[in-house]
Amino acid sequence: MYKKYKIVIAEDNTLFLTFIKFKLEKEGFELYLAENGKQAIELIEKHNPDLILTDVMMDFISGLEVISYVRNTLKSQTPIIVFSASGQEEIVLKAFHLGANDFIGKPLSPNELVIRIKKLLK
Amino acid sequence: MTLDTFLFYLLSVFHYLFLGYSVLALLSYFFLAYVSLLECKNYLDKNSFINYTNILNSELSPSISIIAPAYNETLNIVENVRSLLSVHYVNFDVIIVNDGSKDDSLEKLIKTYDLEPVNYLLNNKIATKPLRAGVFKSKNPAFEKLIVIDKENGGKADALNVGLNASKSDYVACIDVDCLLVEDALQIMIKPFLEEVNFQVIASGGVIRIANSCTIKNGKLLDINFPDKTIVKLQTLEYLRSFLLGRMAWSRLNGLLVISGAFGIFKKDIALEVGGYDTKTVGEDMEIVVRMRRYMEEQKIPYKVGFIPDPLCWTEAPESYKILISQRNRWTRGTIETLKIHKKIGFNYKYRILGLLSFPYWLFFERLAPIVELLGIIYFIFLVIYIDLITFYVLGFFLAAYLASVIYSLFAIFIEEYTFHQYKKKGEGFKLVLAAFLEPFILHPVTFYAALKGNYDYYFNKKKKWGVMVRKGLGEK
Amino acid sequence: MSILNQLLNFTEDTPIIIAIIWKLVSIFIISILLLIGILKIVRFNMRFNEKNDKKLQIFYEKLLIEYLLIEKENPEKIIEHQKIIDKISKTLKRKRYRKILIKTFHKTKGQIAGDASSNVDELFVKLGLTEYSKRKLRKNNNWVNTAVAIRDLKTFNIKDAEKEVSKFINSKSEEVRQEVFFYFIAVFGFDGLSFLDKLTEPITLWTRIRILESLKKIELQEFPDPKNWLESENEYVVILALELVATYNLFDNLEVLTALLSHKNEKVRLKCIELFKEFYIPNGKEVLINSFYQRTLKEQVCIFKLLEDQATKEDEKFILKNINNSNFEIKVSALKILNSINRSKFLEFKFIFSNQENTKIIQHIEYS
Repeated sequence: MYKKYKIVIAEDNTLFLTFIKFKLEKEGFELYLAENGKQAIELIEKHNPDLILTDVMMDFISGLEVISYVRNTLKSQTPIIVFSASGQEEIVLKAFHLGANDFIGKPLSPNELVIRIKKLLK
Repeated sequence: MTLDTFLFYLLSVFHYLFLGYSVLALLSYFFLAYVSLLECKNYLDKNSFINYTNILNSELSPSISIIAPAYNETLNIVENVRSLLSVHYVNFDVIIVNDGSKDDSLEKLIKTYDLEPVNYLLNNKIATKPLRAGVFKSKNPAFEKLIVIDKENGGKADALNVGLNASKSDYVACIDVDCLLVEDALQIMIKPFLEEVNFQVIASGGVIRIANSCTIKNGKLLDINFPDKTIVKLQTLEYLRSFLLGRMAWSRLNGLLVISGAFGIFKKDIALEVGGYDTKTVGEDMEIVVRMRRYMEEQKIPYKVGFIPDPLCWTEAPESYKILISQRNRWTRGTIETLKIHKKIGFNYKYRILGLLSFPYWLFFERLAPIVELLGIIYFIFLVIYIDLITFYVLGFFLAAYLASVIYSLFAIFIEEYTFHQYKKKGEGFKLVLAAFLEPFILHPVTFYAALKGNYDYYFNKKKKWGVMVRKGLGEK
Repeated sequence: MSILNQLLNFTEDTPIIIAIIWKLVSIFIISILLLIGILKIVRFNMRFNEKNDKKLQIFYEKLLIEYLLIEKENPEKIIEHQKIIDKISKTLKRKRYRKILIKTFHKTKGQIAGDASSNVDELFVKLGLTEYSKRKLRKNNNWVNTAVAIRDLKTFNIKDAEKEVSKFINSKSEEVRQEVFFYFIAVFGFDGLSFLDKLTEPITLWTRIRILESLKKIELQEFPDPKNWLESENEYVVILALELVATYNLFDNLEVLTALLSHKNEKVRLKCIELFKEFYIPNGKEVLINSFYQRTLKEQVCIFKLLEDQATKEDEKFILKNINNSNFEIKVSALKILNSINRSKFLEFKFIFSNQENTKIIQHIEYS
């Protein structure tokens, strides 16, 4: 039976979110969208996704806190991919220290994102 | 000539001089306001084409040493150092100069940052008080940018000079250790130096913003609030006026005489060349800028002193009248001393704008202002007591002066709204305007008194030095 | 008292002053009320505009997403695209709206790369926005507008604007020049650097940093020969060329580089010495030692930093001559070098020097 993978995306840029949602749903993923870290955490707890995508820079609860929550509080090994605009290398490094698996810089190509997602889900 | 006629002529001369002074002061303030507006607009336009992140990644970015003298700062020193170390820049180090503190500042630093004494060669180009416990660096690579120097007490200027001797960078950022620097501060402040082509930029100053009532956590500015206490509210307004209307204009005219001691960047080799900070004056921040400018004029090298209006440095303003008076007293004495040390450049066409515009302005409208004001008040009181009808005239004069001051403050608020708009919350606009109306009645008498006391202390009380500053700690509210 | 009477007459005779003062008071009061009024309006306007702009942005974002998400294979593609183009075109008469639309496009390009990005460029052209930018360039009334126009042409990769943009290579405005440089680099890659041939104005360190950073983003291809630029009349072009040589390892022109060590401009010479220090270029060391005493202090310090890495035993005589140089940095460098090429000779100096400072330096080097 064909399994539908669940992905939670946390991103405060609505245009990007809508665009990525469309592209990923076309690839057969089931998506849950969050516009900030707090919503992301709620969705993660509710749906127990197979992969998490998060932007590192968001208001209030940042992407880093989401990663920390998943790795330290939920003690989950769900693969996490972070994205960030350029000039935020320090924060991306911190994300890796906290347990992120991969990183992709913005502007990003949706096709590349799909490839990386599929790789991590294997 | 009879005594009466003589007295009459004397009084009328004074009368016209005083009026002339007031008119001149008024015109120059409004001229400066106009120039500031132009400069602010120009600055904002240029800002839309800037991307500072490039500086972060480039190997060509110049090296900067942040020098922060510390004396008995045990309450906050660890947090302040942590905040300085987290500045976003690629090529910098932080030099903390412990100026013979009698408390446990050094021990706290050694413990928190894992420091060990190192063999460090200091270029003793500027004579300073000797070292005490020596130079320390951290064993932990996460703190490799930190250098702590422990020396015998010598005052802020002396501590800064040790920092100048120790720095291996091209530029030095001299700051007060308890100032909160915004993360991007170095990237933004270094920009004027990167734009020099046919002239050299020798120093760059910034705006000091008031941090009282703001939320600060872990050395980061989280929330900006207009201060609660009236005396601090009024100081906020005063700072806006003097930075956004005053220094912006002087920077455009290339006549800037002072860079705040709380945050300024200098070209290290020129600062060393002129001999570093003067330890014998209380106004060392103004004095070194004048000396550096003077040196460049004498060497006939084209130069500029830059100024960045962005809110980059936040500090605690005095909350008690006693400390405020002590601070303003010191500023007054600093101005008097600096002008006296460099009196040669005054009205000297060889020093161009420095001598023909900045110096005279500072002399007449800053240094002499409290004296003229005092004489004016005495004169007016004399007139009112002896001639009733004059009351109408005197009242009109004071009212005009008050209203002019309010307009000037409103103009400053207007520029702030138009540029950086830091006080966005509802009701803060009203509070700012109210402050403009209150300031001449509440803050001005205090600063006026402090300035007079400063003059008195300068001439009759030579032993006085830095005065009192009690640390309360940023972000403790 | 007669004096008081005189004063009374004095003031009565000069009611002009009083009149002026009270007129001023009334002007001030009116100005204050006006200023407060303006302040309120400005604050109100700002909030209002912020809200409106946000709504407009969301409107444009929706349409843009629709446009970008129409499938390539969709047979109705062209019709659907045209529908959206028409909807947007209706709003483009107003400058503010165009500004927000372009801002939305900018933002999108910052988020999404690949096909979607080129689609945004296409849309920019189809909406006729290129014409607006070119018009701004023709008018050239205000450096801000010119710079914004060039920046837009760069962001959306408008190749056919090359001629119009070239006219501004030597603009007096620093910001306009920068945007021209970035336009050429973004649209034409390394070949775009040809603007350096025509440049007569200075290039600040700020601009150079940005040029080098934007070049990093281009995929590695053949880098053009910098020979012309190294020999340029414009010393800033030479400095940039030296930085390019360092970044991209372009060492085909060793004679030209060595000749630059004697360039008439000190900044060029300094940059060149730094280059020789980093890359161990042959002959450089000898040329520098031979001309050492004719050079400025800054150059001399730099040369010693070079020698710290490159000095050999043959240079010992020269080093010894400078052991007691009046400049602190050179002195320290010389001692360090001596320590590494002839340690025993270095240790002899411990006993020769009576100067306390020199002894300190020797101690420091010995134990580091």
